[in-house]
Amino acid sequence: MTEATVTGEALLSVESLGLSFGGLVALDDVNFRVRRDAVTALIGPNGAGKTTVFNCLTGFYRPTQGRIVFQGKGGTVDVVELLGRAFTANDMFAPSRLARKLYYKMSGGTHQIIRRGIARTFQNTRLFTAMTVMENLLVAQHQATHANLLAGVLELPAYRRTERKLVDRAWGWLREFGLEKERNRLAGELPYGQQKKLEIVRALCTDPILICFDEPAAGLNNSETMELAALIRSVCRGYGIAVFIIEHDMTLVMQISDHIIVLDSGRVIADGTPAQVSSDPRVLSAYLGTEEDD
Amino acid sequence: MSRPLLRETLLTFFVALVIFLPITGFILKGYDYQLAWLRPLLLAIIVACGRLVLLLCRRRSAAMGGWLAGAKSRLAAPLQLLTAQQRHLSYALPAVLLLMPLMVNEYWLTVLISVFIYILLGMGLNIVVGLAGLLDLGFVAFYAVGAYSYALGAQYLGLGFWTALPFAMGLAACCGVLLGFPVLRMHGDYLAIVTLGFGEIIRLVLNNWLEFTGGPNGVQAPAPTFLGLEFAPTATQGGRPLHEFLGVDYAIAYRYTFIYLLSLLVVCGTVFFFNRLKKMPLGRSWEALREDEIACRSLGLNHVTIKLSAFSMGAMIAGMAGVFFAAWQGFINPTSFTFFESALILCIVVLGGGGSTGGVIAAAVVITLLPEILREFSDFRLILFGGLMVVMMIWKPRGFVVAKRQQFEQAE
Repeated sequence: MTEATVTGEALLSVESLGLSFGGLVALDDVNFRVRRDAVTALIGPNGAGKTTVFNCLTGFYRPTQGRIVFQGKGGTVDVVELLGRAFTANDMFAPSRLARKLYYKMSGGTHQIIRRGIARTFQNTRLFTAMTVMENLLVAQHQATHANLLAGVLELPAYRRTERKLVDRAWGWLREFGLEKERNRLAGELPYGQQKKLEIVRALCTDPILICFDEPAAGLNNSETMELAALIRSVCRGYGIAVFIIEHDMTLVMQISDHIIVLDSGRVIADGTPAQVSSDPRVLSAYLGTEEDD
Repeated sequence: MSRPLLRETLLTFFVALVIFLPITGFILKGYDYQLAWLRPLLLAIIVACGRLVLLLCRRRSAAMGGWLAGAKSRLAAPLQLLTAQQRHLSYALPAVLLLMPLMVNEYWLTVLISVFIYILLGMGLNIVVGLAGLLDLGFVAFYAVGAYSYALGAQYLGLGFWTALPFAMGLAACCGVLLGFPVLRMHGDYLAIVTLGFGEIIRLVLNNWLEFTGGPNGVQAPAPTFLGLEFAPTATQGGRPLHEFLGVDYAIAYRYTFIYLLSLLVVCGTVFFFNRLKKMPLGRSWEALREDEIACRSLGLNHVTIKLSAFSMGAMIAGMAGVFFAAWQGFINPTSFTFFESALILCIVVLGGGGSTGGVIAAAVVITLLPEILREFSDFRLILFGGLMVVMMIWKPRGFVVAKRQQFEQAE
């Protein structure tokens, strides 16, 4: 393993992460770091556990062991704790721990993850297909909305100002991705490439610190993939948002990432710069050598 | 006549004959029976002729299609005229609705009140089913809670109409949350079954808790009051009867007129509320939840609060409708709150088009007025509804009116 070659401030550090479904071990002692100002890629053959790692980071799975420490909005937080851990008998003798667990049990859950700044997209797009493009983006910005029910029903000036601000912000992102003409179309009517883009825009609208892409290039043609690569680079560089990406398209991965983590059978087998990873014999045998075509 | 046409017709004739012979061919006479050949034969011939005509028509379907399209555009022409004059219509409508009590008799006034109540119920269910996508087959439970909290509140706590209104709405909303909690993780069919059960539980409790609710004998609900004026023959709630105040003879029409005008106001308010809600962050998150719950969670929407708010908001409106129902009827019992009512309300939402306001109002009007207009066919009411549903699902699966989406333009 090529450690300590990728340096920089760690935004997210995964420490001895483990997850098993019954007897099946999906992840086993996974350790890696995601830097604040870089594009980090997670690669590996099919069934290596990439999406499982993703679902742990974004709060859809609850890891059975380990920590995911994130320097998010409102300070350092353990994602696993945020989801709410199961109570154990020992908690009865440690009131402060019990109180913390109880607090996270009551308020925690998947929806808390993005409030700390981790956004994600899905392998198969999950847009709100019967809503318009703009409405999709407004839903994403709901944290910033005017929460008062009465103000909304009466359309008080404060409420209208907030709504306008959100629409303008969504507009900015739409223009960035060349989608502003489609704003009033239903999301489900868009061609596939644009749906993929819209999902990225929607994730960006949540004002994230770290954005996780789950196979953003799947199903796109070559030119669309190249366009996407440029966009992801510009997102990372231009807005200082860290990018964590799962991708099968090796040309895309090699082109955009600063740091690559290779996963095989639920374990990290290599971790380093693209050059280091692509010459690692273990990676070649596990991934590039045998399953290049998938 | 070509061979397949002849074959088809003959086949139809024989099948019809086989079917009709046992049904219409035997005439019972005491313990004996008589064979009547002519009747099944005649019926089979009619059926075969019909089949032939149908087949011939289908052959000329291209020509028929053109004719149908022509007829459609001829029919649509006056409708387009209407849209041009819609502006004038929209000015005239409130005036007509307000003056309605002067123009129609008591009977039609009560029919209009029931239209308003169904519009309210439709709006309430539209939040749950149309916007949040939570299929609720027990919606009538909240309606019952509203009606009973007015009637029982008056009986045990001495609540008046105006106190009972917020009380009933609050109680119904609480019941909505109560139902919402156990079904948080359910979708589709499973959710429908649980809500169906909930509706039945409420009805059965009302039916069997004799000491408290009066069971099948029902409860009296007092007439509503307005600024100390009562709409009853004699004052029972410490006010003054309206007819004494005005110095005229008592008539039940006063009570109906009052409820009519009040429910008109409430319907307008609810429609306004609903339309605004749809555009608001809360309404958007309901729709987002309907579209994709996982995506919702990934965007930080708390699905628990969103679902519960949809259930409670819908229940609140149903509770309000219940109070109006009790105040209008003066007497309620559990037979008004059967599963059939839930199905009817769902019918209104589905026919009208989930999420749309105009469609639901139109559907409520049609569903309530149709049985009144077609009194003679009351035995066929359910067949009519069923047929209407089937036809709608085939031709307009998204309802009369597809909900319009909010359009966004750039700020100057």
